[in-house]
Amino acid sequence: MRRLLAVSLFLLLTLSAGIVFSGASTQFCSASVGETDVCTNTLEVQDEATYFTHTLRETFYVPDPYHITFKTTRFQPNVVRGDPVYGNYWIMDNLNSEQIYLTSAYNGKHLLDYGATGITFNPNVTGGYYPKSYGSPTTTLVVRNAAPVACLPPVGYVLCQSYYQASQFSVD
Amino acid sequence: MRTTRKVLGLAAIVAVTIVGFLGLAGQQTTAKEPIRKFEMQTVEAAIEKFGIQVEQPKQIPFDVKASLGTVGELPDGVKILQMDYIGEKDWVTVEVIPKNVIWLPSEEYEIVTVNLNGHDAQYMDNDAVQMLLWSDGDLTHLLTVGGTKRTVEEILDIANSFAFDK
Repeated sequence: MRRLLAVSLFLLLTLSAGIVFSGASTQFCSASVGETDVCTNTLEVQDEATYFTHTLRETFYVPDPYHITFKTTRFQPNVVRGDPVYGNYWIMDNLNSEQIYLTSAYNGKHLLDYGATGITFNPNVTGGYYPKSYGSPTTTLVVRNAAPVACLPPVGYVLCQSYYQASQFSVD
Repeated sequence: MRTTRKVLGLAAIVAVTIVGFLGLAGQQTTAKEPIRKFEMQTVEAAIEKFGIQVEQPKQIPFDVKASLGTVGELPDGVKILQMDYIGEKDWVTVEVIPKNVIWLPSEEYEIVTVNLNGHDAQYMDNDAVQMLLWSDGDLTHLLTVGGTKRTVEEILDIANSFAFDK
């Protein structure tokens, strides 16, 4: 009986933990010097306007203890409901956060248009990592839950929101 | 048998309590952190939250039905002010960020340097929106125009109505 109780509680805890963390969107990734790794970050959004998941897969390389190179970025949307649109994609160096790289290639485009294929591009940007007190390089994709023209009153303030899908990178 | 029922009853109460607690925690987690969600407010409230006084466009080539603002934040705490001016079919968005921004080259667009009131600005069209980027002191401005396709001169007219402290 005790074993049955323990198994039941374990299953319940496991399932519940899945609920708790299913919405995670800020991802922390690291790799050792000389390594190339993939940082996978899944955003799940369910609100009044839309229901979608968006997977951000960033391939990065650590050439030395002081830098991180962003080689390839992949966007993979899966829209269940609504019509969310992409905003800008930011890559921030850690050098006191003074330098920010930006691609607007997909700004204004609809996630629905890329569900089948996804999007892959090559930022080829190197950010500084050292010293650690300057913070780590980060990447952030902005996704709106609806196109701006869908935000006219009376729904605007209630319905329209921007989501930031972010990853932070460090050297092991 | 009675002991077994007591154990099962107690287990059920514990399980329901745990699931309820974790379910509630899950909702809170989804609603707040770690999802970084930034809700819309008035443009004026967003500017106040941004903490830096910025100008708004005074010339927009369509009837503006609503304006909305929000202040987003990158992971390192850098704030981005976003101001939307929305018509029936068209919109203009102005983003302001207190950092130096470098536009990455892309196969999706060509970056063209244009003259904005005597200063260099960068223009691009990605087939979904048209954008103009310029720096004014410590602030970088990103103007995005969507809906009706505009000429570069029309885009510059919008920017000229508020760029460089006009």
